[in-house]
This record gives sequence, C-alpha cells and structure tokens, in this order.
Amino acid sequence: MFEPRWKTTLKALLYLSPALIVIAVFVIYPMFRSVWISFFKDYNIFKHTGSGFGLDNYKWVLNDGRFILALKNTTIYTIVVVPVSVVIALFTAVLLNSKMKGMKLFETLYFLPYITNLIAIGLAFKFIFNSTYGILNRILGLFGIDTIMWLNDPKYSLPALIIFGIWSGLAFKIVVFLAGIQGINKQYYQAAKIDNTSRWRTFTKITMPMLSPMIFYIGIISFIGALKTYVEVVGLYGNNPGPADTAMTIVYYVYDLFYGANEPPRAAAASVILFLIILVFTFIQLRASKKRVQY
Amino acid sequence: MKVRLENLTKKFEEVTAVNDATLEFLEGKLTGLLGPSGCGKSTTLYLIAGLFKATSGKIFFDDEDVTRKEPEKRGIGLVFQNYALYPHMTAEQNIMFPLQNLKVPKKEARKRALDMAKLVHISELLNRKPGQMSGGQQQRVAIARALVKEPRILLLDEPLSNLDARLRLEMREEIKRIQRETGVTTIFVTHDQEEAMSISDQIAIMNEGLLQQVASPQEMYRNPVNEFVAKFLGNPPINIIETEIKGGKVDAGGFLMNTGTLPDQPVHVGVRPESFRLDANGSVKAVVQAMEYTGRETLLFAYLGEKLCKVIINADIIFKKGDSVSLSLKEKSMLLFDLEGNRLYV
Amino acid sequence: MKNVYKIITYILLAAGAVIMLFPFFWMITGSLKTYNQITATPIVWWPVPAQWNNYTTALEYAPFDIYFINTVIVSVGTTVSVLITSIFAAFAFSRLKFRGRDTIFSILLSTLMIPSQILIITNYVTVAVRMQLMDTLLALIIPFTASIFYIYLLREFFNQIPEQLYLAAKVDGTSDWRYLWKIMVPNAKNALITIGLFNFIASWNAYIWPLLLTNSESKRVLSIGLKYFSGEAGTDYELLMAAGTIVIAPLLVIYLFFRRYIVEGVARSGIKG
Repeated sequence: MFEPRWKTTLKALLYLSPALIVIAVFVIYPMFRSVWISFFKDYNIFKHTGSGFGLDNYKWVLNDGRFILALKNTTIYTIVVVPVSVVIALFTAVLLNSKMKGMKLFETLYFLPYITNLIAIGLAFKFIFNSTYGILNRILGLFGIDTIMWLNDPKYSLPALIIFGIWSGLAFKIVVFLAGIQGINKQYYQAAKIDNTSRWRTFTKITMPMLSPMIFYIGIISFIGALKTYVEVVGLYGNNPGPADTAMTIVYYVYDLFYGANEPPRAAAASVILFLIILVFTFIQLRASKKRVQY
Repeated sequence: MKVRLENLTKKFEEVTAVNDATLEFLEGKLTGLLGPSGCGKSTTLYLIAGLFKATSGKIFFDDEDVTRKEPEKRGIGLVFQNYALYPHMTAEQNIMFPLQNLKVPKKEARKRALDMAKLVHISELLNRKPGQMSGGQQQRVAIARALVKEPRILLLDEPLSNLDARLRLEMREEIKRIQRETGVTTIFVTHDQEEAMSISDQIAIMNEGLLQQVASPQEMYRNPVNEFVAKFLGNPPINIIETEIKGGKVDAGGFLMNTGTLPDQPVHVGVRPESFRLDANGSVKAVVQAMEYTGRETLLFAYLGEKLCKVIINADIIFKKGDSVSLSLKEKSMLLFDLEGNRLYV
Repeated sequence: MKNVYKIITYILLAAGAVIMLFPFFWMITGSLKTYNQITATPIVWWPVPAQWNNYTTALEYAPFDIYFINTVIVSVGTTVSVLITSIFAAFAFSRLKFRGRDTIFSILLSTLMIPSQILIITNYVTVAVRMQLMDTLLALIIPFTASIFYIYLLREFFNQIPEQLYLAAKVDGTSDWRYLWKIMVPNAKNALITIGLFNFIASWNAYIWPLLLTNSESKRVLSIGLKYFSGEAGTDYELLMAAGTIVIAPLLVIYLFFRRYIVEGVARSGIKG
C-alpha cells in the first residue's frame, strides 16, 4: 500500500543486496560470459583471452560422434523414463489415496528415495546389477534367464540407467500427485458415488481431468530433468559413461569436454545447445498443453 | 484532537479515489465515514493514517499539518476489518507490541496493556492466541492494541463486517462505550448505513470519490442534500416517484405539493416509507399489492397510481391483495430532486 | 468385491514399497556382511553376525570422517547463508515497495530456465582463477549463498501473511527490520525449516561442483570421497556398501525427524531437488 519512493527503493536495495550480489556474480554474469566464451575457438581461462571468434565450436560439437551418441542416449532415456515414471507414480498415488489403514506409512516409505544421495545409492544399484553375484541376475536366474551383463554389455547399459532413473524419480512424482489428488474437491467423488460411477470411470473422468494441469507440470519438470541427467550415470558407472559410451548423456558430454578434455569453449557451446534443446521442447510442450490440458 | 481535510485528493494512476474532499472531524466525537464499496472511504481513512500519500490537498490534526508525516509519527490507532492481530503472539503480547516499539519499560507496558484489556473486557483472555479467540474477542484485542499507546485519533476500517449479525450489534455498542469512556476522536468506516446511523455522532457520506454531505445522522436522514444520500440512508429505502413540476405544483402519485417559484421541469420526489399515514380521510387511495411482516411493523407494497410504493404501517393491521387504502402525507416530508439528483428547495 | 479391491491394493502397495526400499535394505545389510556372504549362493538375506568392522576397514582406506566433517561444514554454511539472504530478499520482494520490483523479480525467475552447466563453466573460472579459492571449502560455499528458487518460495510464503499485519505494524511505529524479525520470520517458521532442509539435503548431495573445485583428500566432501573410494575398492561390495551407508545415514536420520516438513514442502511447492 505504501507507494515506492527513492527512500524506500534504497532501503529495499539494501535488503536485496546480499542475494543480488551473489546472483549477479554466479548466475547473471556467467550466463552471458559462458555464451561469449562458446564463440572462441581458443580461449585461455587464466588470461581471459580468446581467438578465432565464430561458430566453429558449435560446428565441431554438432559433428562430434560422441555428441550425437549422447543426444541419442539422452533422447531414448527421456522418452522412456518420463512417461513410465509418470504413469507408475499416478497409479501409485491413486492407490495411496485409498481410505485404508497404513497409507501414511506407505507414503513415508515411498518418499524415502527422494532425499537420497545418488552416488551412494548408485553403488547399491551397481551391487544389485552386478553380473555374477548381483541379486537381480540371481532372481532372473530362478526363472531360467541367463546371466545379463547389465553394466558391461553395451546392449543393457542404457536400460540399467533407465531403471535407476525411474526408481530415483518416482518418489517426488508420487508425493506431488498424491497432494494433487487430495486437493480435488471431495464432492466430485461423492457425486460420482451417488451416480454409481465405476472406479475406472471415476479415474478417467474425474481424477485425470482435474489433475491434468499438474500431470502436465510434472511432465515438463521431469522432461527437463531427464534431459539434464548426469549424477545417475556417475552413480552407476563411476569413471566412465558405460561400456563404449553407451550410457553417456548430454550433460556427461559437457562435463567431459570441460573437465576431462579441458575444452571450455566447446563445453560452453555444448551447454548452450543443451539449453536451446530444452527451450524448444518446453515451448512445444507448452503449445501442446493449450489444447490438451482440460481446465 | 480535531481532524481537518482540505481539498484532499488521491489518484491511483487513472482512478481518482478521493476527489477534492474538504471536511472536519469533530473533536472527541465518533464520525462515521459511510458509502458504497469503492467510494473512497477506506482510501480517505488510509490517507488520514498516512499509509497512502495524498496526491494533493492537506490533512491537519488540530493546526498541525501532517500531510507529509509518516504514519508512526501521527499518533493514530488503526483497527482493521480482519483485525490484523499477530497470529503467533498472545493477546497480551499483541497489545504490548506497539509500546515495545516506543521502548516503554516492560513493567509499565504490561500495566497499560492490562488496563486496556480491562477497558475492552478481555482480561481473562490475555494468554490466548488469536486463533483461540472468537471474532468479537479478536476485535476487542485489536481495539485494545490500537488504543494502548493513547493515540490522538482512533481509526476503524469496517471493523464489524467480519462478525455475525448478533456480535455486530454487541460490538457496535461496545465501540460506542469505549469511545465515550476514552473520549478519543474516532473515525469509523462502514458501508452499512444502519451501523453508521446508530453509532455516529456525525456522518460523512461519500460516493465515487466525492464527499456528498456531512451532518448528524438525524439531519442527514431528514434533510439529505441529494438523491444519492436520500437513497443510501434508510431501510427499506426511500420511494422515488418520477413526475414533473407544472405551474408551481407537483403531483406525486396523487399527493400535491406547492413548489413556489421553482421553474417547470421533470423531478424525482422522494418519500420515506414511514412518512405515509393510514388515514380514513386521506387524500389518496392506494391499491395493496403485497404485505411483508417483520414483527415490529409491517411493510405494505401498494400502488400509488402507476408507482409501486413501500409503506410502513402498524404491525397489527392486516390487508389483502387488492384492498384499497387511504393514505395521507405531510407536504414537508416530500423531498424534491432534479434529474441530476440535486435537492430542490422550495 | 470391496475386500478384493482392498487386498489387491495392499498387495500392490507392499510390492511397490519393497522395490522402493530394497536398495536401502540391500546397502545397509550388505555393509554388515562378509565378502563370502556377499558372493554366497544361496543368497544371504540377513547378515549374522553383523560385520561392523567393515566400517573401520572402509575408514582405514579413506578418511570418511574428514569427508563427513567437510560435508557438514559446507552444508551448514550454505544453508545458513541461503536462509539469511533469502529472508532479506523475499521480504523486500513481498513487502517493500520499490521501483522496478516486479521487473527485477521476473528477470530473476526467468534465469531459473538456464541449465546450471552453462553457469558452472564460468563460475569455475571465477572461483578457481579470479578468487583463487581452488581446493578450499569456501569455494564450495560461496556460489551457493543465495538461491533464486528459495527466494521465490519464501516470497510465496511471505505473501500469505496478510498485508494488513504490515500496515498495522507500520501505524504502530514498527521498523521494517523489527517487523521482519518479530512478525514475518516467526510466522514463516515452517517454510524456513522446509527451505533449510531442502538446501541442506541438496548441498549434502552436491557432486559436480565439489568435484571440479577440490583436489586434495583433506578438502573432499562425502560424494567425492565416495566416488574415488568406489574406484579404489573395486568389487569389495561390503566396503562400498559401508561407505555408502555412511553417506546416506544422516539423510535417513533427517528424514526420520523432519519427514512432515519435507513431504509437505514437496507436496505444496512441487520442489524438484
């Protein structure tokens, strides 16, 4: 209700300054700086000098076989992990919404993976996936399935990463969906019950439409998150992105260029490309949602 | 403390919320600031409080110009519609909070808080938090918090509108009592004309940013300066009969009135429902359309010629639809307005 | 019919819970097995007797105690700083009126779209080269002393506190400083706990930044120490599981005590790690 004046503006700036200084130095400045660096063919990060201004780095990255592979892996990972985990999470949330005893306990258990350290739990997955004494192969063996080299066979390394990715992303989605379902006005369900609506129809005709904005929101967040997958790879494979780079993601590629190959300008170019990919897909999804989201 | 507004204007970008208001709030009295929602009454209150800065014009407390003063330097107490109590503090901590701002020693602050609690009758609730109190109790705490620093002026912004009907009547009396006991100059914003009439020593009525009239409740009710004021006060509302002045006379549904030297023109004649009298010798016959019983009295809907009018009659008289009743009306209870709504005086 | 549904629901939920929890169970039990039990057929489900010395052996290989202390210092350091900078900034954005407020705020929000990979490249130069903070714990704290996302979240919470409280306090002569600490902060207590927990957990699990900015063993945090250790220990899974448990145990304890804040925080704001 107070109106802004120079005195109040000055005071506000004082309150804002600690955060704004940090944000300016570590968010705003690097945003432009990195894009700037990405245009230099050679850039010395110690002397802040560069030469060969142009699109060379972008051309190089887009022609790099490892980048194409990373793009392919990340795309497969994303289009499997996002829909599968959203569907499982939605289904689980509906079950957790039953008016039965013990649901709070289940909710607590399901949410546990959310807080976990992916490097640490990645070791547990590594152990589970181990080809000789991992429990997964031993259980599959009971059904007569031959030993699978989950982490060493190029055919299975990406599926292993996908399994890990689905597992680690479920908790968050379940909790958000459950909160969304519980936020739907109970009267819709009471009305449906009076009209003797079947469970399946109640789900498809009430829960899904009412939840569609949230499903869409979670979809976009998971989509962006999946495009940026990185720590899962480290957790599962450690020092390499799977056999023959079969589990290499775009972000892994970026860091590998930056840290492993010591090519900051090329890494910067790759990260800008990643940003553009995210931007384009988010835009497309937002456009699509205008037609699909039901209210 | 007298509060005087001089040509006070407040603009929000395109909208003029308060337009050139000049008025004086009486010292030690309770003034009701009345008007429909969006009329600028709350804006006026916040201008007096200093929460808004005037676009132009001046505000005086006695002879001191406070227009540019910060709210905390004005010595006012403000009570909000939703009480604005601090939810994490007890009633006592809430009341003491303004004193702590002023660095009043703790012992004295406590004593003053207890005195205030006694004044507003919440001594036994001091350890409760707002969430554990009823709306009326919270309102009392809010008043105590506003009064504890002994303000020069007490401002109340729609203080009763969040309460249910019974509590509202009770708190109305309470605010009147507290105002009398403390003698603090009080300005009370409300959109409820009945509330304003019953509580105020003086009413200032606003519409669309413009101050319409300042007067005592009785004076304003009997002698409104324009059609808006006449219509806004009174429930059931005043009857408005559209007619015209012809040759120094006006005919309002059969009742004739001498208009002296007023020129011929179309006019609206306002007649309060209680001004009609059932009178066997009455000059005008009306046809009963419907009746509404309120217990204390009866509201009669009757046609005066073409016009359906509301007439208040004694509760124990019963009519049927289609009955014919004779009415009389004193000439001085007919209020004349031109088509712009301005009062025409004979 | 109703009971059939009930039973099916319980079975499905229990099966799901087993899958969600199994990696934790397998890690903790694995950390207490002998190498023989790890590799034995048939599968050993429960380690008897528990091999607590796996933990001491792991500690002999790598100084997890030092990693642990470093991680606590960094997590507490960033969390305290983020809370303070967020309280100030969120207060300014939600209560103080100043020129350009909405513009600044929307610019800040739009930067949340930028992937952190873009920022890290330049930030590495800033911190390691310009600030000369390579291989220090300070380097792990400084870039994370303010967070646009938490400012945004806290502002939402602050906005829920009625504006009239602020006006009432103004009329009573309360300074902005006093209002912030006496009214806003106590009323946003739950939100602050939630934000603090999220930041602490995120900092605890941070990987790429500490990997880039530290070399020496004495400056490593748990995630990094664990990564190097997993390279050295190879397939000694009982040791790997012990080390993993050391990293995860504090998170489990936090979850046990603050579950309500974490779950509600996620549910309410849809926070993604």
